[in-house]
Amino acid sequence: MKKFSLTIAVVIFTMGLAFAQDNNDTQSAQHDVSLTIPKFAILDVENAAGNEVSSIAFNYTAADLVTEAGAKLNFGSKTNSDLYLQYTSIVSNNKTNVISAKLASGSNIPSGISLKVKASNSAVASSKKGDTGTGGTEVTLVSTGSGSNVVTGIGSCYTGSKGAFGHQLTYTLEIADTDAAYQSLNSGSYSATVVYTITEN
Amino acid sequence: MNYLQTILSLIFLVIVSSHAYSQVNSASHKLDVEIPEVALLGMVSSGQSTIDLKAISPVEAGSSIDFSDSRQEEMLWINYTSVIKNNSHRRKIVALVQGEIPAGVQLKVEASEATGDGRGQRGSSMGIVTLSGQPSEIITDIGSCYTGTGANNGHFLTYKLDFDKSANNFTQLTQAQTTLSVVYTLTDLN
Repeated sequence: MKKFSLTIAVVIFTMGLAFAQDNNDTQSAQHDVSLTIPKFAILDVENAAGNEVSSIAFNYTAADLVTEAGAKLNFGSKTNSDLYLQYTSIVSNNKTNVISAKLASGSNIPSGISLKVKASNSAVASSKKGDTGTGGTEVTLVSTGSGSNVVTGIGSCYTGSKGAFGHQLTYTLEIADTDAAYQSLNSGSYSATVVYTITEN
Repeated sequence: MNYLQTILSLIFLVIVSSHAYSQVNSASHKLDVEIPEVALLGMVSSGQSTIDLKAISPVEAGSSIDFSDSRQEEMLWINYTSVIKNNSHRRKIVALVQGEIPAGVQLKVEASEATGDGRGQRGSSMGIVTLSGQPSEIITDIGSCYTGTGANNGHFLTYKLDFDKSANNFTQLTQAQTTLSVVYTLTDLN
């Protein structure tokens, strides 16, 4: 009887061993899990309805530009605030992202006229989470160089999307008050492409 | 074996899913601008807008009537803002008289060169111009520009009366007091 019990005990013990994966027989087992959170930065420009917009228009009439004979042309009589800058960002420790704006090459806006844009100081509060960036600086858009920063200090965050979220963008036009700017001005249809890029600061 | 395969496929899935996002870090849109032609003319007077011109009676019997003293007292300024349609397009300002100019009398006007706060291609004066019922060019070669508004900006206008020196027209002079309208128009030169 004793022999039989011992044999059974030995068999059970051996079977138990056969199921173990590691060499150390304990009640717990462990292994490493490697987690990678990548840096991340994407942005979009949408209108309040949540749609991407292919173009916005400044259609001036003569009365928009001047109402008193002899006065300067007032391109500032029209502005556009239809568009919102939206982004999602994950940054490395102690780093921030920035958003810059420039004109694509091929713009044919008259040389004396400047295009300006300003992003709102902060992203719309109701939809944002995390460290969204700071806007509030009006920049002149040019096609040379790498662009001018319109939003800075973007940490890990998101602004919200598909609605009036993120930073509202306000565009204005202005003519330089110079002989050259006026002399070179002709009526007609003109076009530019505005490009926004998010990059690590 | 099964256990190892499960682990491997889980690792593979994690790697694949982390690269499934498309990284779109730029966005763009077009901005279209429509700029119209502009042609806006105005006149400013330092006093009343009616200019009085009187021929002065001679002091010396037998002398001619002197028109040269028929100075206006009011300061008249032409202001305008213009946007042309292409580099070769230009505008001009013409003047014509509505009403009957007394026989034997000529009404003349001279625009100064542009002065004051303006910018751009302002026009040039055509000098002394004799006015009639037909438009006469008094300022020419206006491109895209503004003169500035009000007095001391744009072109100053000086009117003169003269008698028609062609033969026998002195005989046509009769006592007359008449009011004329002079109409200025900013229009295309070409």
